Amino acid sequence: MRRVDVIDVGLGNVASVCNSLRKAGVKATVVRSPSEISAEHLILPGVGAFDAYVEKLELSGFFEFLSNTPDNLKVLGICVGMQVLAEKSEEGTRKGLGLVPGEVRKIRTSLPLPHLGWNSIEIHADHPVCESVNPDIGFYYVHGYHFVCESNSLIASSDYGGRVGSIVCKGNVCGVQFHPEKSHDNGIKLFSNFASW
Amino acid sequence: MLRTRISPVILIDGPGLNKTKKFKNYKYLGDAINVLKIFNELSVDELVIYDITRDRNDINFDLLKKINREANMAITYGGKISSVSQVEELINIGCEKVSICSSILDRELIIQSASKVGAQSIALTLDYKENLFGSVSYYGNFGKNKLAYSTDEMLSYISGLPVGEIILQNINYDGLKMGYSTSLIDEYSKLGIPLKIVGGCKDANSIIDVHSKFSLVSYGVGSYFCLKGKLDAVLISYERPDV
Repeated sequence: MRRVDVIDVGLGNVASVCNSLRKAGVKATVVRSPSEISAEHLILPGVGAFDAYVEKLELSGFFEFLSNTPDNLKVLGICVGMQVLAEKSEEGTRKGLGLVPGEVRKIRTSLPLPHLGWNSIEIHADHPVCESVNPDIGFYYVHGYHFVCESNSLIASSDYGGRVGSIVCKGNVCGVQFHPEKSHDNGIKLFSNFASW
Repeated sequence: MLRTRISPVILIDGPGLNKTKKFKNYKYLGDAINVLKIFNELSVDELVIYDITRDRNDINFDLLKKINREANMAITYGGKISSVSQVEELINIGCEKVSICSSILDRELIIQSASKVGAQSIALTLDYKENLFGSVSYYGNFGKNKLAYSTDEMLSYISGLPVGEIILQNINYDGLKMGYSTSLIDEYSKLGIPLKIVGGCKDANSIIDVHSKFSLVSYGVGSYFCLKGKLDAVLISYERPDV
């Protein structure tokens, strides 16, 4: 059975991520310190503010561990768990992990903020995590800041009065701005893809 | 393209779910987890949950953990919230958004909560009544405590707060299936914050009618997705119009 470890730093919907992984046929194990990691796939679920999340990662030892992510470990960040993969964020003053080159900026749009609800995605580059997901149905978003990166790291984006980064990737590290665990079948498919990546 | 959000709104009352009319006349809908599983199957956009349990003042975290463990959709929870630690705990167990209702005038609670979980995860629910002359009054404590704020004062107050959604709920329309009240949409849209209206949805046309005039509004639906026919028989459904 495919296995994924899920980081729990006390700020993020760990239970629903684990539940979606189980529905994808993946064994999910919650880990609270780097020494507990045993799978080859790791998820950073996230809901929260940038600085508060970085602080939790630092206190739990995950920040230092992830800063030197082993090559054989595939990482998936979700929402603010994706944003901390960047070098910095306009939402806070702390440094991000810098695993995916780029920074997090406030969404600049004439539309109401935050970007909230189901939005379709446009896939710009083939990637295993996107395989067979339905881009028209899209995913569920809740965020006021978004990841701005070089085009070679941008796998998918959404339109919200301008392009908003949806999926970013650099090497063995991937991040999704939306919540797969709240996106019904499309989210379960993405989790299954990640576990097979 | 962003899809218009249409969200079932359910009310926790003790161990089960109830539906109300004008915040009264409680009708039992069934077990919360069973109803949630049906909404999972129906792939609803998101779910709004309020706890209106009358004989307890604390948040039923055990039930909410079970709900979040099962839910494939985003959940907004409101009811009995009075501290930042409760907000953090609600996000940590899996709620996407936490809606401040009776504590809406507690500015520090809202600001401190947003600093912990992000403004995108903080919603405000405004329960209100509108009289025959169009005068609006806002209420806390499930319609029992009148707040001494006019609409202008409420708008001014909210405009400075870190908030990710405003939920407007007209108490006088609750459960009556007479179509939505739209009188406050223009004013609250000016805040530039996503807006959801709740109370009164009769059928898909209720949503289509409002959507034709206010395309950025989202919709909370109670009775129409839970009760059917003249006798209000309990039948959970999700007949989503294509808007």
